[in-house]
Amino acid sequence: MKRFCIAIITCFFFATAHGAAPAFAQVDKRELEQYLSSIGWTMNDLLNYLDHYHMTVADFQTMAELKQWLGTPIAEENFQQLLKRYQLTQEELEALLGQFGETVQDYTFIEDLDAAVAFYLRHNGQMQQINDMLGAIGFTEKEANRLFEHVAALHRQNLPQQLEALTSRMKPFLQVEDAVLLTKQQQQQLLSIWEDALSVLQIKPKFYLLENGKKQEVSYRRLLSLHTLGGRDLLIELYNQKGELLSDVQLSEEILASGYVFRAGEKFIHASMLASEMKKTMRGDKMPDTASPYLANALLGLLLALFGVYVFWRAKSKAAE
Amino acid sequence: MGERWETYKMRGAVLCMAAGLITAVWNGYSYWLGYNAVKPWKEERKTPIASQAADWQTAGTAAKPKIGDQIGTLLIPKLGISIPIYHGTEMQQLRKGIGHYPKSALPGETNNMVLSGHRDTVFWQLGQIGIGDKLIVETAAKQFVYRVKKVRIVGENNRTVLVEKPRPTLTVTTCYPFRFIGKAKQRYVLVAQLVSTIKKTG
Repeated sequence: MKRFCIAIITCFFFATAHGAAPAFAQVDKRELEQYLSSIGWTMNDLLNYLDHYHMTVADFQTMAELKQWLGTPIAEENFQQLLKRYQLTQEELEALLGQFGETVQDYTFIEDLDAAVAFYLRHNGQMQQINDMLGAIGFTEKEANRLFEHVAALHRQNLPQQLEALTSRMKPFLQVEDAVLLTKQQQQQLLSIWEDALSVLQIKPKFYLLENGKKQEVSYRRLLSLHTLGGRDLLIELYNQKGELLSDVQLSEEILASGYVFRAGEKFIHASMLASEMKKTMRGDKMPDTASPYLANALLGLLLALFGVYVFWRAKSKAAE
Repeated sequence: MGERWETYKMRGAVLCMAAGLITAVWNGYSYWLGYNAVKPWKEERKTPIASQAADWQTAGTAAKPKIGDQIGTLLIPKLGISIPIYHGTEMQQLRKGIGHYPKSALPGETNNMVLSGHRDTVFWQLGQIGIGDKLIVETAAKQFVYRVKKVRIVGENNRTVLVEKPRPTLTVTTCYPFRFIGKAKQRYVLVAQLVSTIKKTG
């Protein structure tokens, strides 16, 4: 028995030490070539693909094992199943992949395509969620993007956690239907949430009262002391630290008194939280400017200098006359 | 008018010469800086280290570099060259090497890493790289070997290049056409996928 074990161990050792040796490959080359041509691959494609996973053909004992490991080639049937599973039409799938610079033809195995579709849909879903939330409280797409960029540019540690804490502080107010029902203490709490949110997000608000289309700036303190807007609308403009306008919201007196404001506030903070979580991601950004002006500028400089030399020489020879 | 006009002309001429020379020298220096960042390099065989999955995780824990830091080198075995990679894609970084798009992944992370460079300095030979060629990103501790899967030529405003990817991907962009006087309006894009990770010896 012992000798048998040693034999096996030696064999195993030998096999692993010469893992790449063709003598140990069990996959029939002819069979493999046939299979590859059936899925439209060359031998090189296969080796490159295996290389992704640090493998060679020799790692497989049989053709069946290799086939199973590679995955299922994309065919009409499983492709339709995939579309059904994600509730996409073929055009929608092409559009989704196109958004990320890919086509269905880039994929050979249904499992890889499946993973990619799931990833891209999730990524788009997060973006959609943020846009939907902000859209629901009256942000245009442009404003939503500006806010997203602003939040993404913030350098603050555990920003998502801070914003999450704010949303949970906001929760008790979501059921309130009428602002009049709030106690003094609750009003104080609300104001502190609002102030904290703006300071965490580094947003500066400006308040205006609108009357017949005329804007009149009003300070925060003064606004708080007002009991009624007197039929005027409140316009809030949100600025970043550099003083660039991010968004503006116009609220009528009825809306201000209703619970809508609380829900809008909660959505705003929540959307900012999602945005801050996604801040590191690229969303189809513009490519960096890789045009280099140096050679052209150097030539222009030289021409200018030569022109100077010419004029100088002309003037000098004229003076000598 | 004669005398006066001539002196003005002389002064103008001297000014032209001075400004022209300064422009020429400064731009020539900037060009040389990028061109000279490309250094010859020879590939040595090294054995890949253990499974990729483990590496993706450890790579993510590294501290985020600051703009302007050198985060590694790009090695191109086919051309036998190495080019420094700096964090950031502003003029200052692109002048002296390849820029790493700050919002993109760091080497080995399970996402898209984007490198950009000038077509006429660091990447003047990039047109020779095509599908199947290897690109290696070398950091202080490891080498990340990528293989080009796709070559794309797109417009400068194309928004499908700088996107998230489900796999560790390396995207290299530069201007296109390579030999063109003026501002090239297209982009040459190489999309490569991570093939293996090699631990550096010594």
